[in-house]
Amino acid sequence: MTAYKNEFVMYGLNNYLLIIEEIIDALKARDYEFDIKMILVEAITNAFYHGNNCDDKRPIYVRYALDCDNVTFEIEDCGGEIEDLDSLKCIDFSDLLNEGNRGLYLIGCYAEKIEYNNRILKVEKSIAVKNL
Amino acid sequence: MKVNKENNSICVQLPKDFVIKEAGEFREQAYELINLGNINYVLDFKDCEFIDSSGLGVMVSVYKRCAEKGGSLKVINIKPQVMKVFQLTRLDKVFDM
Repeated sequence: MTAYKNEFVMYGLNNYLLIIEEIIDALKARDYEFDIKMILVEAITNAFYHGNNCDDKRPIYVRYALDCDNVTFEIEDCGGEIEDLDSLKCIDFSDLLNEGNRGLYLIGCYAEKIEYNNRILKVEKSIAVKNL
Repeated sequence: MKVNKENNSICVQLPKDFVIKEAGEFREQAYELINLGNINYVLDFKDCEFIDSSGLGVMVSVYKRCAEKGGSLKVINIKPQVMKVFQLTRLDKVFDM
């Protein structure tokens, strides 16, 4: 059974760090603050730049649901395609000096599972939460 | 972001969150300074608690511009969680840290 769920809609990147703080507080997951922040910062930035083409009139939906010690985040944008997630599992030495293409890789490092389907990036993260 | 020139290096005090907006500001400042011949950088992470891929990307870009002119980029005072991001992306092998 899902114990807690919520949704935010944002336009552009003006207050995304505050919203991420709010989500971490709502989940009472300060012990996992860095991990969750990494997942959401990268996912939201990716949605804004690649999904919404930097258009701050287009919405980005951030949903999360907590089920026991497992939180599922969904980040939905207005279009664009994410590259094959399998190709982002490691960084090759020959790519070290690339200036981009680390965002999804970093999400993968801090999450248990990533899926992308129909404009929605779904990320699962295991956390041990005290009482909600 | 505080920027000082000390001896032959530009010292940059990075902010608490080194993410997209701050990374863009750093890139602009650094490119301008590099064009003026400042090619040695010390990035102080003392106050920095978080870095994302935008921050890393800008560091790589500045590093490449400095290196091609014979300059350097050094990272100091890095916290363990931020260090882990450099290790995961193998950039700890690129920067002097």
